[in-house]
Amino acid sequence: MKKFLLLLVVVSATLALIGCSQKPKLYVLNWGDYMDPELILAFEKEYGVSVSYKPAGSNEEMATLLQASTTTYDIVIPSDYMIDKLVKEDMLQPINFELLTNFESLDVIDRLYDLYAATNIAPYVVPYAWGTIGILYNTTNPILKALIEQQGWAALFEFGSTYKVGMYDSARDAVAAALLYKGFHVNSSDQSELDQAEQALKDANFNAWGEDNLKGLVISGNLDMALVYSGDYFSEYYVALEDGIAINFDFYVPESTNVWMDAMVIPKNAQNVELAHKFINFFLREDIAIANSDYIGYAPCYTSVYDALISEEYGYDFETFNPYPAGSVRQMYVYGTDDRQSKIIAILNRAKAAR
Amino acid sequence: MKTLRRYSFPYLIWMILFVLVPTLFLVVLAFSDLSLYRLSAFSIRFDNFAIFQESYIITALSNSLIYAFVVTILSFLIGYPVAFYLTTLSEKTKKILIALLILPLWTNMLVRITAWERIFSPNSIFTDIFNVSIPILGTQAAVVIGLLALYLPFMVFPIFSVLDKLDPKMIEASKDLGANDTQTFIKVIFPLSLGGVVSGFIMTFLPSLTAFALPETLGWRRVPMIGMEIQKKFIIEGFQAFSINQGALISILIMLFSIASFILITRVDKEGETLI
Repeated sequence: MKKFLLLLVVVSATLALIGCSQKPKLYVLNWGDYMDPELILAFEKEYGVSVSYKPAGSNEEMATLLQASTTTYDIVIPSDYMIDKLVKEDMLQPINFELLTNFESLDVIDRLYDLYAATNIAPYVVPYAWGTIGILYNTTNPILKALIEQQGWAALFEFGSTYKVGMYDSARDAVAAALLYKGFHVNSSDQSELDQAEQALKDANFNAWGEDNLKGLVISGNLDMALVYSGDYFSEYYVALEDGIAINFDFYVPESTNVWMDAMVIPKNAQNVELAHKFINFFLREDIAIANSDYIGYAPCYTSVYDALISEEYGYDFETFNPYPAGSVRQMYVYGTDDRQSKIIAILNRAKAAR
Repeated sequence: MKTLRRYSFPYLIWMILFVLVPTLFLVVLAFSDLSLYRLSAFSIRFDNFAIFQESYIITALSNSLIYAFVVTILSFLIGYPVAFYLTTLSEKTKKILIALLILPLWTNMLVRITAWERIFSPNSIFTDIFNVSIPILGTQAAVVIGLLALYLPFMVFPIFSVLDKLDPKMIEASKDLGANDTQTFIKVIFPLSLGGVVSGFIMTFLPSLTAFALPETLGWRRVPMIGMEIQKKFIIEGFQAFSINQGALISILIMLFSIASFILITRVDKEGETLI
């Protein structure tokens, strides 16, 4: 018995030692495939460090992982409302902008800055990418384009019996779409407005609830249209362009919609704060920022980077690339109260149960 | 034999660490206000039970029970004749057919689910070859067919193993005593195979009851089942106060089903011979 225990100790100690290496390690928690791996390699080389990249599927998952703190992350890239929540939970530390020498030479796009400066997240964030939510539709049926452009949000909510419609299975996005459809603000916590949103979700009779699988369902013809993030559309659009596949889908962004912004933040319990700033600074270097934005294909948050991407060299000048064209209405999520959060989760649950 | 016992020690540690401790955690979470990610003093709390008044949980629970029941009955109706037929074959054919039943089980379950997703799409392989399509994704039928395909072998195997071991002399005796084929089946063969039937029922019912990946993919989340709700409570809503506690409570309810089934199995099948 004793010999066995000794063996166990020796084996586990060896295993523990193998796990150690001399290089400092930076832990990054981000969306899947949302950062150019070659640029991460370049950073590792330049600073003689190793980066551990953990992908997550949703803001909620990121928050849960952060809270679980089985790993302490140094960099996280969640979205606006979740950053708002993390700030309220006192889980983030303010960014030391003095360490970000490259930030000064970049200009955050004014319209975007105005949106997030109006919330209380500004001291904690370095913007990463932004976009909208909108309607992805299959163009095989030529009637759809005209219908969606004419109806806007109503196309999703009033044509469920004629067409197959998919809705995002996330309380925040589904309720926001319903609020926008009813002409209210995405952050509304007015009970009667929320009630109307709930009724709209119930009446819509969606064919499918999903997440990033919705885009595939629309493109394969399983669904006619669905609520998706602009990023869902972009990624499919680029893949189709690259592979030379005929494009049978399009994306419509209603005149008033939600703008999301993903931003780099540093958790309060980060182990390697200085290196985290170096990492952020690295990704703010203009050439790196351009290369990374070109990799992920979402709208960059900085004027010069954005201009580079829509230039002829990169060719991102298609219609829906700009998340906030002049004359449109854009609203950014805030977390709101815990009470509102429970309410919208309950609304989604009831809406999905009612059929 | 005694010297062998110490080799089970690592497994014992494994079971304690990864089965017993987490289960205890679940129990504590279910009946308290303990926050899983911020362990601290906690107090006993029964408010988590309010979750069973939520309509979406009731819908998901009853869906799961109904589908699991339907799938089990259908598996039995299809599986019993299949198992019976297998026993009548020569050893060689029997082996080949059993292999054909087992082979798909070696494929990852998610791959099999994705295959069904493709089959149920408007543009499937059947559209290309036969020009027909079965676009039933997002319906109850898709979920039930998917579950049935996934768990049918678990109905066939235990019944087959019992029938295969059945002493042919019993059947001869029955016929000697003047029973016709139907009577022999009803009065002799079927009662003797009951152990396998109960195992088969449980082994198709339980996994169908707790399925979550399949209803998500084939049911497009329009067909809520309790496994999906538990998953959601832990992962998507894990950040909400008491969400994990409610998820734990639902898990325990499901666990009670498993324990009850296990007791039932040990009653009808003391040697556990029908369990593979």
